[in-house]
Amino acid sequence: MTAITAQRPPRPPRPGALSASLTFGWRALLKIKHVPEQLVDVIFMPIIFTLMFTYLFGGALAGSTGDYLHSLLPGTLAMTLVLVSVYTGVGLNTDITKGTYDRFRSLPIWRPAPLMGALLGDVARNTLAASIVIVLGLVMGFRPDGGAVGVLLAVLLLLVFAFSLAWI
Amino acid sequence: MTKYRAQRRSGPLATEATGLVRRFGDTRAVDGIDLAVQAGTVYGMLGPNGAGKTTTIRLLSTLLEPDAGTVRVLGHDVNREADAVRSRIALTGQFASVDDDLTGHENLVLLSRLQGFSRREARSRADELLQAFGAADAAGRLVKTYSGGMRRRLDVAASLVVTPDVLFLDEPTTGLDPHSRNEVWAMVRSLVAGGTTVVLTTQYLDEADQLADRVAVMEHGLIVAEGTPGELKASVGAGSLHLRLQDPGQRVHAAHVLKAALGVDVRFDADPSALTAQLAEPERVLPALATLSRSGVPLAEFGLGRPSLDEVFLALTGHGAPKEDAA
Repeated sequence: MTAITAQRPPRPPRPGALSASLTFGWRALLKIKHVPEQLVDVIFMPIIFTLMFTYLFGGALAGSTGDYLHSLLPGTLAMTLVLVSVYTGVGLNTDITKGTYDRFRSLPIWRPAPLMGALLGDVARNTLAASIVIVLGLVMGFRPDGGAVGVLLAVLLLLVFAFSLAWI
Repeated sequence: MTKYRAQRRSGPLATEATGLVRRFGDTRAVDGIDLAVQAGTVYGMLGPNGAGKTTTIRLLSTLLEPDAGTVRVLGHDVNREADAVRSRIALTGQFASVDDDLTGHENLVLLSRLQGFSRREARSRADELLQAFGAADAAGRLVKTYSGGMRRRLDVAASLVVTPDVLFLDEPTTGLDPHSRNEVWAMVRSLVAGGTTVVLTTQYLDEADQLADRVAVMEHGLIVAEGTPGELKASVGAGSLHLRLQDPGQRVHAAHVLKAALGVDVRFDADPSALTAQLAEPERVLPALATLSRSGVPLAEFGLGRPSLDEVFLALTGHGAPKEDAA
């Protein structure tokens, strides 16, 4: 103990905005690793919604389940991603109430870095949720008009959308 | 002019506040505080819950902006040069600020990275710190499985990733067992030996006594007394005599006898059979107890205590430590 305080390591230069954000992103990923329960919502909610709306109500709404899937799937995708961004808020709130945020705020880092990091964690969760919905859709007979590229672009758009939404 | 000369003589100031005010709604949490902390010393802020200690710490460590007044840390204004201040201080808040969902090692790597260490440096720094705090074997465990003492030590360790020039500790030992408390005290002492200035808050007079070079007693957002622990204790008196009677019904009579024998005021405690007397002359205790026993008042127990925080308050403010709000 005495040794550690006596040696006084040189203070490194203060980290850049990107590096600080990535570090917080790493923290968000670690949290997913240590608390995998938070992924349960992300995995099951879209599955349940897709299945339920397609087979329970889809026939009545659009004539056939296959037709309905076409309009439902993009909607489920958007909804799931919005829901996932709630995690950012909850996580941030926990940080603030527990005092973790106070420590971050007393560090010489770019102010929005903790937020950016949480959002990066969101992107990981969102990507997972989106791929689940799409794979499920494909299995159930969803044939996107835009092809593979169209789907990828759509997911990208959604990620940007969720990112901006979570920013609020 | 006098003030200027006083500062010149006593060396550089690590932290200086003048006329500090912070309101929350109608509450004046900090109501005009002046502080001057010499570099390389320990400054203690003593007071009950709600006295404004935490708010003061947050004002000093750039987390809150004051409504009025200025704070300078190591010569930098905390509002205008917040980044310069932040790169030289560290804060350990009242509630453990380590992340429950990460392991101890990951917590320290995270904070090392945020201080600007490279990935590899951060890992070795985290290893060093865990080794130094005797927590190496718990490094891979999630922090939520740690005991209160370990969590607190990790929390303090997290402030030492880069040795700060000024360390703010908000109630570092509240809720710790005596062993963990001694360990935290040892950490503070070794830091000060290394040249760090420490500003800490505490509810315990004992802690301020053990650690602090100067103590400020706070109440209702004001500093009601300031000085070295010795000066403060001198203002309280030599200590106090605590008595418990076998028969609560004799309390008034006992108080009367004691008052005459000791020549000081006697207070009734919350316990219906207990009495406390502030002592001016400790050597009068023995004859007073003898008088009491001759007058037919059997004692259950008695003890001589050092002044408690409550008594410091009594002596300094004329009334007891304010009770915490039920809410």
